[in-house]
Amino acid sequence: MKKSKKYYKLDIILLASAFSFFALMSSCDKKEKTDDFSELGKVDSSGKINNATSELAAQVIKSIPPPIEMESIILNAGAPYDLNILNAVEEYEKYSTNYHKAINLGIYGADLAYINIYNRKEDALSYLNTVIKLSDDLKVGQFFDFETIKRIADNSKNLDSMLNITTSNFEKMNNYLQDQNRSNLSMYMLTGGWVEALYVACKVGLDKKNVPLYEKIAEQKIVLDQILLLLSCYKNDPNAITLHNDLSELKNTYNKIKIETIYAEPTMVEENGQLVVKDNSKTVIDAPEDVIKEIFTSISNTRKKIIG
Amino acid sequence: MTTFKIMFAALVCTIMASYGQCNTDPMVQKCSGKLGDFTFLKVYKIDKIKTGESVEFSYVFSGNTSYMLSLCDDKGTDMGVQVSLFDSNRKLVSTNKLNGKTYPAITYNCKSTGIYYMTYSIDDVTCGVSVLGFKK
Repeated sequence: MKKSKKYYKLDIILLASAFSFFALMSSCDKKEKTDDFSELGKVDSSGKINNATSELAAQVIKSIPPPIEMESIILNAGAPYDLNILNAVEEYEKYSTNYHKAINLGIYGADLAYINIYNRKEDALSYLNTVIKLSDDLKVGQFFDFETIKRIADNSKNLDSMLNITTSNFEKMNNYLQDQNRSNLSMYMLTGGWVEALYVACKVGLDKKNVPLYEKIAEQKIVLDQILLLLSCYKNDPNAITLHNDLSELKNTYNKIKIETIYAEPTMVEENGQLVVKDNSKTVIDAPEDVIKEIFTSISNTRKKIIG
Repeated sequence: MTTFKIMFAALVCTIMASYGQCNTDPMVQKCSGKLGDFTFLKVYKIDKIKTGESVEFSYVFSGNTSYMLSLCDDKGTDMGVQVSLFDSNRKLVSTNKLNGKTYPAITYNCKSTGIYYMTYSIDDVTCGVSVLGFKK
């Protein structure tokens, strides 16, 4: 029996569906094979990292705290607000490569978080403007709408909502860059943000001789391991190699820091219908001031190279 | 033959739909709102797994800091996402499903700094979102 055109159409649709289905299943399999790290660091002909590396990089990026977490403790140290310790907004003009733009976008993002915790609206808007300019240059400006953020800042007593929005926008930008196979820019941004937050924490900590800040700086030993792991995903990227080398020197200094955890079972209680888990373990940190000074010297040198 | 083709097409469509993309934006907004006085840190999207599967993320938690993991799902019940929190030695710290009750958030008063692992799974929903916040 001869098939009608209608039946041929159905066959084609079914065939296409079947192909799509198997292609989809096959790509899911690839995504699940994240334990196979043998392909890590390899790049394809266009210079992009391969799937396994990209998957690992995305996982590591998710594990790294944004600058606000380290900087939030600065206010408690009783340090006065000091705009001079940050990277000046005028410096923006000299960043011409995508590497410099992305890494300094991270730097300015951390500076913006510092300004936000001191509730300095004018400076915050000035830094936000620079963040937007760099984001536009990198074609990720769609995540920041200056007028909307300004309106939110104008309508709030403090800059908490602005802080939440900018942190959230940086997060969206990172996700977008990874989806667009431009995770190297995300990696630069994240490294820049971490370098700046550590630099500011060291500067304030040493000025105020603040032990809680010393401990916070010491804890960054764990984050540094994650950042080095992230940078090692980009073995063919000269900028990532330079950063990796610089931060490996910092790692040598961090090896003098001792972090010990004394384990105890956690306890769980329900408070106002919410589950609250109390950690009964304890972390003992040995962070001598002379080691913190060494960390400051090392991170200052790295930062100097980044901000130019 | 036609019946077979229709059944095959239906099967393909069903399986593809189960792997389909969720619109996580409204869930992110809702879950961020649940943080209250916690400051927003990260979003974890649970949109590439089915019931019975799990996905893991990690985060460096800092001592003397409180964290909140809020959970939201596409059905709006906020009970369709399960999270188990493990410490750096992979010891279970807690889960949001406790004593037969499912909690839509976990607050963790962290004393021990280290890398922690969050394992998410879904039950009777298509996808979900978890937002992490912190408070000093």
